[in-house]
Amino acid sequence: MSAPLVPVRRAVRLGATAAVASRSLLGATFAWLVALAAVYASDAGPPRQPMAFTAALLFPIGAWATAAMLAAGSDDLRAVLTAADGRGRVLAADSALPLGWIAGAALTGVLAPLLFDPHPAPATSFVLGAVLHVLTGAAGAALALLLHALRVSPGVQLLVVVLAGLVSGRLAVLPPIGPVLAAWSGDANPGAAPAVWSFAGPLVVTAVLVAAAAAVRRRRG
Amino acid sequence: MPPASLTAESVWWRYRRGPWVLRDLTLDVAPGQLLRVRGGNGRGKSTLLRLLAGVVVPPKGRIGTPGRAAYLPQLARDLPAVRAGRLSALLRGPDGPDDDRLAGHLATRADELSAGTARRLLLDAVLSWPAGVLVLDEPADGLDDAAVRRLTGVLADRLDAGGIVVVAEHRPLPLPGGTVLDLGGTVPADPRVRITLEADGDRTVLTVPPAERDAVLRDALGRGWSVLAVEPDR
Repeated sequence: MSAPLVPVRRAVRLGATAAVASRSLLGATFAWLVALAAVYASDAGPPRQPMAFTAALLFPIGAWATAAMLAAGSDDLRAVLTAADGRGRVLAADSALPLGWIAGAALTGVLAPLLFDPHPAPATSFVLGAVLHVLTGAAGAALALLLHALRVSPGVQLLVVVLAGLVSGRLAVLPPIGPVLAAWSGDANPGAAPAVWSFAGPLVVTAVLVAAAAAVRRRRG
Repeated sequence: MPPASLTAESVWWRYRRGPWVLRDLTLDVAPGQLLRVRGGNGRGKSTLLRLLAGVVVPPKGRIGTPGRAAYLPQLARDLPAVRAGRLSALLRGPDGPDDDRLAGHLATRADELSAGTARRLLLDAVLSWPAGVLVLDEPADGLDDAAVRRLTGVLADRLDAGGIVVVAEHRPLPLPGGTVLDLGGTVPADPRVRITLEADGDRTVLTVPPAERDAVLRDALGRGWSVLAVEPDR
């Protein structure tokens, strides 16, 4: 592979410089912190259940944050960088920032119960919570990538994300949210199949959405 | 192994389910060769350049490229809300732009630059890259005569070094030779506006599309230039 004309690191810094000025990203970050505050303002029960709930919330909020970051960038620059360094590197640069934001959100999603939930819980609960947050947040980011590639309006993006969140949240088998809530929001430990699907489901959704976004970018730039 | 030439083999293109804009287009641009793409509005000049630059992939046919492309899009209206100097540094490295006229704009946010200045910023960045293929969509738009001379000098050097240059041109660039690909259609009468400015005894002439006239005038007056004349470019 040839050396990039614009290294991915510089492309990511370019995206970050644009994103920090985004009010919409600030809104998404604020919404996430408000959601955590609301969940842990009173006794939320043993940490595993509220973490499953906040992980589910990170799907739409992660999509919002990703959409804000993509909108803060420039389609002209994406075209220039794609010609220079290929679609893969541009997609990687576009994904790196949202993944960083989601990692930060997952960290706060685990720190909140550690600090404010009075119920004791094993370390594995917090590891589980962190993984669930990353998985659902990544699925939200992937959905935002696809919607941005399709160039749908912000209103339609909002509608799709909310509908996807509601439908997935209501159907226990439909990832990314349904299996997470079905497996981990109750008191009892889930069986092996629901537990595996709660991890694999969001991964499958993310992979399909990223592949679809890459395919759309091939045709539309 | 990548091909030595920039090639298009039986390329077709259309927007979604619309009519085919490009039909069965085949071309071969050898190293050291200049391809001039001309044609009327809507005939697919910019689309062809996006295909040759590798920004999009054709639904039918194949593009072969010898390497990465330095690509200048036709419009540069949605640059991010980043200082122009920062954007330039991130795109081309910390040395600062080669285009001296950008120096006065580096503290301005890129999304607040006039369309012409934004294109100059991008052009300056893509020309700085060591790419074997240059794909430039109307690169002379918004440039004054001195900048056009500088641009043609850079392109001539790249061609001499075996680079491939593809330009979509409304007015022919003052470069010798080149193969013309005419996509047909009627090229509209040259709609450009010629603006003559003066400051501290320094006079300059800008030739810009009408859509950019007001922004350029505002920018020039804000920087202390006097406007001597605004007239159709004939």
